[in-house]
Amino acid sequence: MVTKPQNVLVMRDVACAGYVAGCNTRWFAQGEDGNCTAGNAADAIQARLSFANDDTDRYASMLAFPCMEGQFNSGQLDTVMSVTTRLLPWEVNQAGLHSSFPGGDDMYRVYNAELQLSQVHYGEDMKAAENQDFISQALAPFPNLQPDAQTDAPCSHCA
Amino acid sequence: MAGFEARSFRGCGVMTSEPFEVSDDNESLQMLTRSSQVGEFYVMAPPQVKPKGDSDHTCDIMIFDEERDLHVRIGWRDAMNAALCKQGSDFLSKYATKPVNNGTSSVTLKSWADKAEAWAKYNEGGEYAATLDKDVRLIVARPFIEHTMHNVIMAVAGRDTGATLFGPADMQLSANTQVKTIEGYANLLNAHTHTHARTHTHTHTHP
Repeated sequence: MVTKPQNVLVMRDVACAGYVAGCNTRWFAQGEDGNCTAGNAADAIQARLSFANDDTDRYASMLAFPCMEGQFNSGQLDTVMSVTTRLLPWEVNQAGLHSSFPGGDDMYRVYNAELQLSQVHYGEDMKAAENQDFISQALAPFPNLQPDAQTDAPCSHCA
Repeated sequence: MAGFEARSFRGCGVMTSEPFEVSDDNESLQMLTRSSQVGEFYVMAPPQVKPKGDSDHTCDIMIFDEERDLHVRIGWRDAMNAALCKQGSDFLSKYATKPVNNGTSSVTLKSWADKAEAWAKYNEGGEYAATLDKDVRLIVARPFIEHTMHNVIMAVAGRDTGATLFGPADMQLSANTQVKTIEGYANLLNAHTHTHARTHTHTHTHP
């Protein structure tokens, strides 16, 4: 049990232990017949995220979206974008618009409906994720061990 | 430094965590290894100046396929089709009038597809024309690249950092599936001071 968090450094993902999935060049939208449909994409994303194909271990990896150069020039889309219902940190206070999505918020609504992108984070407490509550609530006070070692962000459930 | 496996790396003692055998049917659990996802995207752009020589494949890109350990050519038309914008597709008919450029121009999905189709023909050996729109882009995304990754916990040695707690342990875990949260409660005995410590934590898991 840690009473002085400043003394502890957690270094995540420092070395790769193995490949799992998601870095091949198969399209989510492309079916076995070679045709691309929204239904194929929605099913393939679901299969990939739930590891449904235990027998073949074959999953797709790639999505494609239309876009114009103006979106890069305007700064809406430069180095990062979200292809799920989750907003980028600087989009949270902008009426919840997916400005960084390729083609903008209108294209997000189209592809979200057709590819069922909301299934990626389905059931998640979106507000908690956007506010990074999973970090702020993970710290807890240990009054019996060291009374002066209260953390800056005590767990609200223990108050 | 004492531990399960003690070594030294640049003055720091090293303890290697051992995997737990969960059961005969499951793989052992390594507490410092987790699945980690990253995403990436590529921007496909047609030539910004008229290429010298043939036009074939001037809009394509090469990206790495980790499963086959080689680079694979991604064709402009393949990406266009994967974006569901093949000429005559139901998707294109349904959303033809939807704007593509987030208010920065008047391009609709139909007009974008027409411009992209013109580049597709050029990319397959067609003639260059001044009417080709150089601002057309295709985004190729790989959003769920997943690896198992090793992690390290580095800490200052000594009682100042914390304490090792021993049983009898009262450890309770429960899952709140609605918000994908695991809540834990532990009541343990401090081996050094013989005082009790209680902790209550929450951990969110990500698919």
